[in-house]
Amino acid sequence: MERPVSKPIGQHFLDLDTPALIVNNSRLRTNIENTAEDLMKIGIKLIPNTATHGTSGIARTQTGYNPKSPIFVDTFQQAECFFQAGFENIIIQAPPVSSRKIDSLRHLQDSQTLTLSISNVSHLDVLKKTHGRRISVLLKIPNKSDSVGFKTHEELIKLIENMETLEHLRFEGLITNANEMESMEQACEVLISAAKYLDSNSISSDQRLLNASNLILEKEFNDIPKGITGLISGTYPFYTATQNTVCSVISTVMSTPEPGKAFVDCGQKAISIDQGVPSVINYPDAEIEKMSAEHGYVIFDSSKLNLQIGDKILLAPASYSDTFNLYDFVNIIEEDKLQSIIPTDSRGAFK
Amino acid sequence: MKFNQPNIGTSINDLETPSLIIDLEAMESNFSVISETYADSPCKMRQHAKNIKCPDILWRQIEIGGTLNGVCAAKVSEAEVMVEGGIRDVLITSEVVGSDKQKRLAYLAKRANIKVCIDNKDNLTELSSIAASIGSKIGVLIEVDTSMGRAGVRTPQQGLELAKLADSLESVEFLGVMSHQTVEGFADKETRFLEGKKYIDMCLEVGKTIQDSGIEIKVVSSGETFSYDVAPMIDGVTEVEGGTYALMSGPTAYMEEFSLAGKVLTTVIDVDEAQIVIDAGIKCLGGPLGVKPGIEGDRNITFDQMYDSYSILSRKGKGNYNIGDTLLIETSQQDILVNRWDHFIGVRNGIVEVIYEISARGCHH
Repeated sequence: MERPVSKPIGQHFLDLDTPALIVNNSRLRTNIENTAEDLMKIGIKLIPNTATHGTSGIARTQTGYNPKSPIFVDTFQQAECFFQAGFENIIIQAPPVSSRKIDSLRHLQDSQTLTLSISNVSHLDVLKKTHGRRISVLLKIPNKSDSVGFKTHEELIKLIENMETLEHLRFEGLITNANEMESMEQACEVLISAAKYLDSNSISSDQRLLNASNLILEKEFNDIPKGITGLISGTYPFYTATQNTVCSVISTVMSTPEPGKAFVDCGQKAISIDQGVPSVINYPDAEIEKMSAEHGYVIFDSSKLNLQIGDKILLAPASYSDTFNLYDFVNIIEEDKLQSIIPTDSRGAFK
Repeated sequence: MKFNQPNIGTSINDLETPSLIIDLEAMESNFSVISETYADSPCKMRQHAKNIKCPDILWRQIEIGGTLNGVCAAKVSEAEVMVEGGIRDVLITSEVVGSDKQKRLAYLAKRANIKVCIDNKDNLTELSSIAASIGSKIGVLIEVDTSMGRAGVRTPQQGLELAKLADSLESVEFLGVMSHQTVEGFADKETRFLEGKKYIDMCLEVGKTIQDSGIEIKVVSSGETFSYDVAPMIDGVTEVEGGTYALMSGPTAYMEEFSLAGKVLTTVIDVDEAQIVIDAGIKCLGGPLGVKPGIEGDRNITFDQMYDSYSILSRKGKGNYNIGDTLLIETSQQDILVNRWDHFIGVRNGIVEVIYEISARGCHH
């Protein structure tokens, strides 16, 4: 478990023991409020993928402290974590496959509003074995960037008819994953096309969800076509405009072996490089050359910059989700001071 | 949040997935290779804790033999976990910067034999001053950069100046020199020897310069898994810093004397003619910059896309896979992977024998 030297509330953030994951509170709140408002204007509900950060503290801000507001998670264990933290309306991406997961499902379904996404008829066979309170079911539609799901409209009809014979299951709607920006419109098209087909067969789909959790949304939301009822996103609280970084990792220079090179105490175990190396926020003339497991290599023009041992380097992660997964705590910062420390409740909840 | 762990005696087929598995037989075989290699050598293995992060497993290597009864750690907090786990001799293989960490280090040195790397005079002076204020003494080794272009002195003269300063300070004990390098990718021993010697000689040269000035060199700590068998053949090397050999990984399979002991058990959650979807993704596997893992026993399945909690595999063969089937994933980079997990599930002959807590997981301070 992470073992930093604890610092008192009110400490300047640059005095935190490094490497440290920090989130700027006011910028986080602004992002959360603005994104929800922008989507509401075009009639789309924002559903936070809280697995991105894994913290119930940030999730509460995202849901307006309303436990009945829906959240989206990736795994059953993550659902258990958020359920224990008081969230009552949870959508789970992972389909139920093993007996352990069915047991977990039984526990969850007795306690809250539960929605499951399934992509194969055999997932329905597993769900048939669950008896308890009603489970809402989303059917996954494949698209160009994610070919997992029900490939024909006829399959959907057959499955929904099958589901209608089961009292505890309710067809809630359709979901599709957009994994690349260029595929977002196409993903919406296939989803709406499937919804229209169902409609023409007198089957209404209450939810038509676009899961954009794997994307940093850069386009205007107005590009999302009509017919989509909800957008699932995990990264929107951490959008960064210019220098106003919301989420970063503080590191310390621990060696300056030669001009133009510094070696920092943050490597791949403290910041994810799965989607690229991090960028240096507070020194525009410096960049990360590479990262080893434990350390980062910073290069800079020594005629413009003179980094010294002990200097703090702020790093912006290329992947928020995997970086939060490396920490047990998030340091919440307000006006450059440590405001609170919150746990990443669902870190390591892989199952 | 803490989750229930499987009962001892559970079959691997009944484990919840994804799970991080250690094949105990394979790991012990790896430990025996080290024990046999170093049995008659004055040079000993100092196993690196950064790969395993579990004192109980590091103790297994100490019990089996070939070590100097001590370990390496990458960070101060990792060293603390090792000392709390009963290991009394720890070399921290990085520089320790900042008064917070230096104080931790100095207090730790009151509880165990602690050594740390240095490459800067100011850092060394601060370290000694803090150790003096706490009343402890810290062992120091000069880090020599041999090939990796990161921390460490660049010339023998830099090393000598630092050694003289260290030798003059009351609260540090100058012990010698150390270096990191990797000679990964060479299957034959002769090439490994030549490649390893090329770099380790640079470290030894700094040590010799210091020794010639009249300052004793007690420790030369160098080498790693990929030079485990050649570093002890190089005169002057007193200890080898190996970590990867305990579990190994897919890309290091060419070192045939070691077995792949660390794997991730995963379940097929969807399948069609062209692809298989599994319940293990980047969060539990890691995949730094596109280095993807493999599937044990079927080279016709390859990782296509990895997402946070699931991965899509392409399949070329006609293997019969169904939803619910389990697969074993050969990891691509084990120490990045291990750092994501809280427990190892130790399995022998398909049965869970032990659950190890990865108690230094997340110790990046």
